[in-house]
Amino acid sequence: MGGAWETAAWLTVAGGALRWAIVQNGGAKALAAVARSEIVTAASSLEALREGVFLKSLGRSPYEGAAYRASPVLLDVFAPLLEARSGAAEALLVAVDMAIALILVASTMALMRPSKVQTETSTRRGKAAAGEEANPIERRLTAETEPIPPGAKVNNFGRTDFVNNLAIHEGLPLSVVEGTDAASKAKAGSYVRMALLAPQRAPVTVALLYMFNPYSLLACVGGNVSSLGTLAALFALWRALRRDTLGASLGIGAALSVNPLQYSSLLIPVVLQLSHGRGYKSLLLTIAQVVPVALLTLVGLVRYSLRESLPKNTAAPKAMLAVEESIYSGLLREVDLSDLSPNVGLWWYFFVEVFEEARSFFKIAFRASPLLLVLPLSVSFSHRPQLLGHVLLVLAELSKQYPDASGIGLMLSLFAMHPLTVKRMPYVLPLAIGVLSTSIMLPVMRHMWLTVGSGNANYYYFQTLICQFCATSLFVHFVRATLVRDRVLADHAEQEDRHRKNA
Amino acid sequence: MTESEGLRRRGTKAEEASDASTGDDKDHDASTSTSTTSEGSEDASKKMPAPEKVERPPLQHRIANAVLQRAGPLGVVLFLAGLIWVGLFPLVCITTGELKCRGTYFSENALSPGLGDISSSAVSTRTMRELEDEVFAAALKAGDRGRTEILAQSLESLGLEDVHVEGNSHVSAVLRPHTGADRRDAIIIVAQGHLSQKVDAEAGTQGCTSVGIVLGLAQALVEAEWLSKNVVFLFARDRKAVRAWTAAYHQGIHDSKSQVQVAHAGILVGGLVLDADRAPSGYFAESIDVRVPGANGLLPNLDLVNVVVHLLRAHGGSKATEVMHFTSRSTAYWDNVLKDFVRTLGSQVQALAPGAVDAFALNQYTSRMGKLERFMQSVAFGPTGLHAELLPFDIHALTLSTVYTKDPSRRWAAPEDACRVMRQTAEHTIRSLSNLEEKFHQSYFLYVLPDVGLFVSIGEYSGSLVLVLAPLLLYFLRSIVGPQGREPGHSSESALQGFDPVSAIVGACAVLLTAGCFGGFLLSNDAIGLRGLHHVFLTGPVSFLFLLVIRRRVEAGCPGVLWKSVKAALALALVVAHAMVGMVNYPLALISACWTSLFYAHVRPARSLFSGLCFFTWWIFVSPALAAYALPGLVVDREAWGFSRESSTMSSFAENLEALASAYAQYGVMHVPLLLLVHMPAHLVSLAILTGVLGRAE
Repeated sequence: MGGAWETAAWLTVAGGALRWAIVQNGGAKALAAVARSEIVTAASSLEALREGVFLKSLGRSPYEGAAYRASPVLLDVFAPLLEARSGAAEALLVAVDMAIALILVASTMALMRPSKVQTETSTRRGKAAAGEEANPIERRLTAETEPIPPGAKVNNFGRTDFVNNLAIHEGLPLSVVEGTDAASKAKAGSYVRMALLAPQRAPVTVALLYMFNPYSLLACVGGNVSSLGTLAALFALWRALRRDTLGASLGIGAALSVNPLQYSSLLIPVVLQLSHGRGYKSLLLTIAQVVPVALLTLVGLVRYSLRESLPKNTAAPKAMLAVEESIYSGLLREVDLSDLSPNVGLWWYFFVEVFEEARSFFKIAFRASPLLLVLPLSVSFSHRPQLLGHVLLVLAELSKQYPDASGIGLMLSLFAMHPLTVKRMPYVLPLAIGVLSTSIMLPVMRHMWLTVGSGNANYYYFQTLICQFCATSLFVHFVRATLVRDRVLADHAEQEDRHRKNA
Repeated sequence: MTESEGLRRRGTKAEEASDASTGDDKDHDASTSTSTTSEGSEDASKKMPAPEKVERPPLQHRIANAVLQRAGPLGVVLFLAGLIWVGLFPLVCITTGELKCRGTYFSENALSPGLGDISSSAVSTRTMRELEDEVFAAALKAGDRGRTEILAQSLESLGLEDVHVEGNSHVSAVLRPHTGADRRDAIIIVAQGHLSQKVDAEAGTQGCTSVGIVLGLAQALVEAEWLSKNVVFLFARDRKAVRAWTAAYHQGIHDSKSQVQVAHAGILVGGLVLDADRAPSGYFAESIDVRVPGANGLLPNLDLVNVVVHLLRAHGGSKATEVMHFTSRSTAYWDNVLKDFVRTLGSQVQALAPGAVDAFALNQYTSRMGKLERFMQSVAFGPTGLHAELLPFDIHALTLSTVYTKDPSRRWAAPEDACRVMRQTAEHTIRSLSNLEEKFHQSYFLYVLPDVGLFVSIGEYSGSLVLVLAPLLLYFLRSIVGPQGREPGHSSESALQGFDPVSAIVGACAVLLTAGCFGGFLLSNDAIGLRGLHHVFLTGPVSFLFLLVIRRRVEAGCPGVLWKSVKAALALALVVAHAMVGMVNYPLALISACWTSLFYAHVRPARSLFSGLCFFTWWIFVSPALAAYALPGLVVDREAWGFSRESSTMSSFAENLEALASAYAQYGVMHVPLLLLVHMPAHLVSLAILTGVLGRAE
């Protein structure tokens, strides 16, 4: 495991160095010329943030002129760096990417930590002595980072994240673990995929994919500031995995302060992770602990960042109103979809075409459709809070109205944290090629549409359509593969039970 | 549960799993079915060990295996199929299933060329010649600088407005339609050349020059009541003059640096460049050449080409026009080679099976193939005329050029008739454009023309590019996918022994990145030519050391993996690069892919001296240096590229590089980035593979 850490750390450093080298050699300028709108949007651009900081330094609202649309907190983070010296803001973005990679690696390693079988067995011994038959798969699955307290309800496949836990899979047939059997290597047929997805290699693969996938790399080099929100969200999930309630609450609060729309659903996996295996009382207690701290962090950070624009010597409610106003003046444009300039998403084209009277309906429908998925996903994956967190993060990225390249990069890395699930996914190669080829064709088509005039908006839109279809299909297959995996494990447990009884 | 046990169970109980919900849940099915009915069979299996029986992989895996195991020969077959497809362009349209090449048609009804009766017949060839002579004679008296001034006076006397003279570089004037017409858009007519006295001394006696044609046109249009758009007349000495005028027209108002100030007449929606000379006595007009491609694969909308071709044929008969009639000897070389090849092939077929090939059909096919080849060459190595300066500003334009011959058998018309046809075509084109309410958007922007009335759309030709790139694509897929299922001798596990994918991927990317940075460095520093050589000495040893370190790390435990990984990454990079170039400039991508695809799909460390020599010879053949050397023979407009006009002498290598650099600076031709960022790094990497620097063959 130490070797994996070392390799992952080296990869992270190498990825950071590569990013810094590109930034130093004018990479941002070159990217701006080639693929600006694919890499950043107005809601995530460092250039827009510069404008916001400038306006704020003049004592005016940073949201004037519709250039800046992100959170006021980011202004406070970047203002000193932008004023300090050129390159400091870019250095922060590189550092943030490295931190994200390290957190992903740490989370992956925590997920695959060898289970405390001894402790678990001793806990279960009491049950067995009392004549209660312990489910064999339950025995494996509950062998997580810590024992399940007596009396806690554990379902058939355990209330834990057992995605990569190698100890759990000891002795299980290949068909149960990987979804393959000896006769057909159907879903693990690719050399590179098989080798990359070996569970022992997961931390290194995650670091490699995050630091060297072209999407995250270009997003960082191109000045995409949305990575700060991702960092806070992933930090919260990681701290929750380590049972650090305060750290997780602060992390989720910080993520909310960066983008409340995108990260609010992450409260569910954080709470579930912190309370998993501890019963419903603990769940309620955790909610009571996490939510106030997160909200206080959110309000505190936003209030601090707006300290100059808040009216002085006024009653608190009025000040709160100012906070809300300031937040929503930025977010309002995002929700309102007033900016319909082309990006890699699907919303802009649709809302260019839609009739004015139907606009409100479709805005609600588009916004609500991903929200409808949050509850069923939370119920289905309540025993896997980390996976739930990753799925919700990817869902938020895919359903953003102003998406950019960073979302796809994050999706790849998060999926790589669950190699045994990815092994069960069908059509990964064609879908990945679909995403890659359309991503390459997007700048070409934009050039043909807007620069030389040999194309039109459809050229560009078809690429975004295929790209989003492939990315969404990957997401759907991932969720489906997870559900199938759960079912197979549960069925296998039942089988073993029956065998034992028959014996 | 052992593997064989699992297999047996799956085999025997597969049918009982049919109640499972979806196809994706095969594993689920297998395990559940095993659970329900395994009791009886388990006892039997304990007693009698089953023979080791390997189940056949599913059909799709067998197909995938069959394809990927034969990736090498199959790639060659697909490559040849791609070339044959290109050869079939003049005969069939595969994507629409028609046994003929698609004929051009008007997508935009508003164009309706040649419908209205135009009073241009009042302006006869004699008038054009008189107008021209008047200007040239007056200018002769006024001295060298006088021709533009006299031309300006002549235009003013015709009633044109905003006449502007810029030294002896260009003269422009605007004809505004009658009051009440929509004057927001404009059409541009460019008369090429003949602003210098020196040219006149060599001029012939028959026909008239582009100056006379455009003056005659202006005189006719002044009285036209149907005109609804402004018409800009530009008399330009050369391409620099057109470029300066166009830049000033679009930026001059706001750009204080711009020295040229010209009057504005609205958005330029379309235009024509007329390039006509007087013919010496004894010469005949062979045709009027329609020059369509601009720089970097830019083409005007196909509707404009259709309008012009339709009008040329309407006024001059079916022989009036040619698409890309090359006059220079070097560019016609490939044309002749191709024609000879097709004719020889046809005669061989004729000899083997008499009557199998119709002589007329063969001739037609040969002629169309020649034209297709010329058109594709001119797109790949454009620009082909002064209209290339207008295309980047979204002005749909093309060049009409008179072609004269001394050979009476190729005579189409007298030079005077050619001038008349050109003027009438220009006038009717202006009428069509004047009718057009919207900008060109209906018809194709990306096409190749096997003849003036036929076209091959992007939907058809892109398939051939994919086939030509198939060897690389298949190699890449084989590398990352590997054998599917478990067939005897193709176990995935055994192939993966000691394979570290992270090191392989990082190593391959690092090697390509090093090579790519080298090319990027040359490009960004404008260090093309001998000046850049010291970078080679700097980068070379560093890259070499880097490769050695990487190789040691990657090959630990799995020898031969580095060069395979590098080759797979290289194959992907080449496919991506050619796909990107192909969208913008299909012929260039096709030529480049034909040239290199097979080599990079087959390159490997030399096993013996003979194979080493063969690969090395092939390596030299795909060298970018060779491409740079051969380039002057391929480009259509040698002057535009900065090569010397005389085509019989090959320029030196250094001169070619200078010309490439100047063409890149002027037009941003993608040949330079393609050579420096794709071919040169690929060539270096392939040398490293060939010589075994990246690991030996197993």
